[in-house]
Amino acid sequence: MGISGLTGWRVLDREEVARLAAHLAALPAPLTAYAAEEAVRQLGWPVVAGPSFGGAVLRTGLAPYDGFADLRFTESGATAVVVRVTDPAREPAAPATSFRRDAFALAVAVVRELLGPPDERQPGGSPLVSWSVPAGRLRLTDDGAFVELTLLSPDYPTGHLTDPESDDFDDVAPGADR
Amino acid sequence: MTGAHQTGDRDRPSGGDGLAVALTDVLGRLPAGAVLQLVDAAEPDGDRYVQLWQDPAALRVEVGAAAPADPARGLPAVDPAVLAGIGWQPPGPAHPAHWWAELAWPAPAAGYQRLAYRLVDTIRDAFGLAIPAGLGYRAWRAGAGPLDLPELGLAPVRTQYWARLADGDPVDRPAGLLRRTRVGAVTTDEAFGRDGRWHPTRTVEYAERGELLDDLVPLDEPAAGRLVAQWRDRAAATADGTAGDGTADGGVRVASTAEVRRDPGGRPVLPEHRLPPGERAAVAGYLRDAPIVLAGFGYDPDPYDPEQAEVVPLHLHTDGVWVWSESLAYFAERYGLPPEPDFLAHLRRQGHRCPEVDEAALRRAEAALRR
Repeated sequence: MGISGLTGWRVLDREEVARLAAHLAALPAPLTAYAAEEAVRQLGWPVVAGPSFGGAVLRTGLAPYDGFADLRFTESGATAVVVRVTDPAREPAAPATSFRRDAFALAVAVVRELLGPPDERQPGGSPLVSWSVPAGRLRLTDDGAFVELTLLSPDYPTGHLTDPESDDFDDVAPGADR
Repeated sequence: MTGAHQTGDRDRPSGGDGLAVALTDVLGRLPAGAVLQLVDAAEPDGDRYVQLWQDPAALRVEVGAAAPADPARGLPAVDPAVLAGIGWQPPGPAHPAHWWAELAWPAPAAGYQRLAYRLVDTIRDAFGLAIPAGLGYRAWRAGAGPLDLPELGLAPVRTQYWARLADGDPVDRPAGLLRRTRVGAVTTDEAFGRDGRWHPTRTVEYAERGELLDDLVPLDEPAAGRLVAQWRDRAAATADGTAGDGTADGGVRVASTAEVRRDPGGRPVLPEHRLPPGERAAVAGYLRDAPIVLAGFGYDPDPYDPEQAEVVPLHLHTDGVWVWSESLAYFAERYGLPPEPDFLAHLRRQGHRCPEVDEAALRRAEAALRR
């Protein structure tokens, strides 16, 4: 675990990100909410709460913040496993942004070493990178507070966790091309 | 400890520090398809600019390096040695006209900070522009419209375009194209010229005062861009023909355009030789009403009356024997200036009545212009 020198924000180090990504990428098939106990068993992490209708809370032993992973279920049976790579970092804004950019860039580089080039990249205010894995999609995001690593089953609604199209810029009057 | 994060801002006294901090923030959150231009506020379409665009794999940067010295403003010529010293890559096959750099995406915070300071160094040291007063910006996202970046603390560059329509002109084939560029409180009006460049104009002012007979119809940026591209192509294709050297070509002669003489002070002097008053209308009518070979774009200023809006028409006409610019009709009518002697003799032989011109003759005339 790394710790920001000035702010105390914690971030998974390179080895921890690699171990976490490898664990999620190695799941052989999508987890399903209809077999919640089996989903929890496959993840192999101790249960802190649940599983219930909405999901389960698991202890990863890795993550900063609360050290938990969220296993989320939707009504359609889709699943998402959300693991935080960083502590929440919002204020002060400039160091928080720098902290999350470093964490996001490092995590992308580590997962890329593991899985190869990503097949989805979305720069912006809420950046997103994802890879196809046997159990669905493995996605890294920076939502403005956390950098998160998420495993989405194939039928998980896209954009449910983050909105990659949203950014901090406003559209105004017509621009011009050089 | 791996993963430790350094958050300390760079301690670097500089007039551009504020801009560098703002750029560091903005550059790291540009969405894919975003374009950001930092431009000379006094000449937003000049050669002192940097242009950045974000694609899914990298943030790419190009630096304009063609600006000559501007002694009037105390600006240096852009020096390649300075650009190299700042760390830009020299022009190459992928960037033939620009110095450049690429920052792979996603980059760590320090990558955006270094790039931001490099941009500030370029604007200050290579371009010689004051920060932030000498700088403006344009930003947009492909397919999604403009981006507003007030956090940069720079004046946005806003450009409006108008099609100039004479009677019967469709909007997609206007007689002229005008634009107004605003950078902060500074406004510049320009007309697109037949040389394929923008030139200062007062036509928009005249239109605002109701003193222009033609209509100005607003155009959006893409429509204006299409007209500019189309007209630049045509300008290149007809560059020789419109110059008018009077030579015969395929049986069609290209008439010389009116030559403007100037006194030692550089002021234009009207030639003494004029058409007889009774012949002016007939000559002008012939020159204006003959079939058009190529619709001209824009208007030229009247060199003898430069204070008024551009009024000299530029369509190219033919009677099957000669090809000429409609500007000759304007000068004949307003000042009585005759076309070149051979051409005037030809008009008189025709009795100032233009013959029928068939399609083949039009094609020959067009070919003559393109040679």
